[in-house]
Amino acid sequence: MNGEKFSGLAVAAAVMLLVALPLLYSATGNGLFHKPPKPELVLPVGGDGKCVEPTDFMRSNHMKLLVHARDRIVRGGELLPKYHIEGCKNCHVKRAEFCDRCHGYAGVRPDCFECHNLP
Amino acid sequence: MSALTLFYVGTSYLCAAVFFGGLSYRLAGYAATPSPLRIPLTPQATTVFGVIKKNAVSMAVFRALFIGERWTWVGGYSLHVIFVFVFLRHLRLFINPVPEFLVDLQPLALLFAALLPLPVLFLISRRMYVDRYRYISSGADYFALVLLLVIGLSGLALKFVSHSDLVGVKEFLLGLVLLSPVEMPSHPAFMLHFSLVLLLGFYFPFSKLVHAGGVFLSPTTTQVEDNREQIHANPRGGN
Repeated sequence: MNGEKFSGLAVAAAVMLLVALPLLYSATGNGLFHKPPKPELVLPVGGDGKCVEPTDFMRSNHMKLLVHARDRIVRGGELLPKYHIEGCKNCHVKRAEFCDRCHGYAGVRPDCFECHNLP
Repeated sequence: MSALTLFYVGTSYLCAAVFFGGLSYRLAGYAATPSPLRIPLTPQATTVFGVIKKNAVSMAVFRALFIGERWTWVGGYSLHVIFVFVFLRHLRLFINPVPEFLVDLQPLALLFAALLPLPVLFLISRRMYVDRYRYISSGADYFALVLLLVIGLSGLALKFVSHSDLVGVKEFLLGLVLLSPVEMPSHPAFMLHFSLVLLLGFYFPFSKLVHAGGVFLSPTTTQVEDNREQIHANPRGGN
């Protein structure tokens, strides 16, 4: 193997390592062979323990229910739609203890509240 | 753990082994192949530093392709740039905690990552409708592109059509990374997307996609042009 081949191989290995680096970062942060971390949510106490839709549906689709409630209220004429964000707050009292936990975990940042007040 | 999860976890680790093992094997093969003759493509730099600089620029902007085949450059270069943004979009699902700058990048990265089907469709039609490319195109050329297209479309479907439980997905992927697998979210679009990516992982080391690593080991681009400064005798004799 001549010099160019060797350095080429070294560079290729370095690039592979660079791609693997995030995995190492995650592995050192959480510990290999340990169950992966998951967000810890403060769940509502009391109530009937049921959300407006089944939990599985809410996990994947809550944002679609919340987006553009304006259209439903102003244009659809509903007074207080079933999926209004005000309703969420009845059970999920603190944004920081519920919403933000999963958003932070998955690296999601809803931009609604850059302009709109969180009610 | 369900049978389905077990199957996917097993296949994932097998895929990782085939991908990294296969790619290393291919690159080691390139490295071990004797290249006694000086065959750099002109114009080539005449110093080691010059070659490094030239190749760094080449890889950053695909200079040779830009000069040689402008339309191919438009499709190929934009596709590779989009890969970077796709990588940035997915990284947050494999690392924990997610760094702040990565969260900041997400909207911008999505804007570019969502364009992935466009250059792929362009490159497919280039092979289909331009005679001289059609003539040299084989099934493998189309397969790689179509695979990328369906991976991209299924990924976009996860974002714009049928959301999966992202937290469940991240937990599953982190579990794989930490060698401590957990239950897989049984969401059809996610399973399709994930299966296709596994297929890509298995296919990668056997395909033209090895150019991702092979580019570092190509004698015509990595050799210094010192034909006149030094004597490069063929070690096997002859002239």
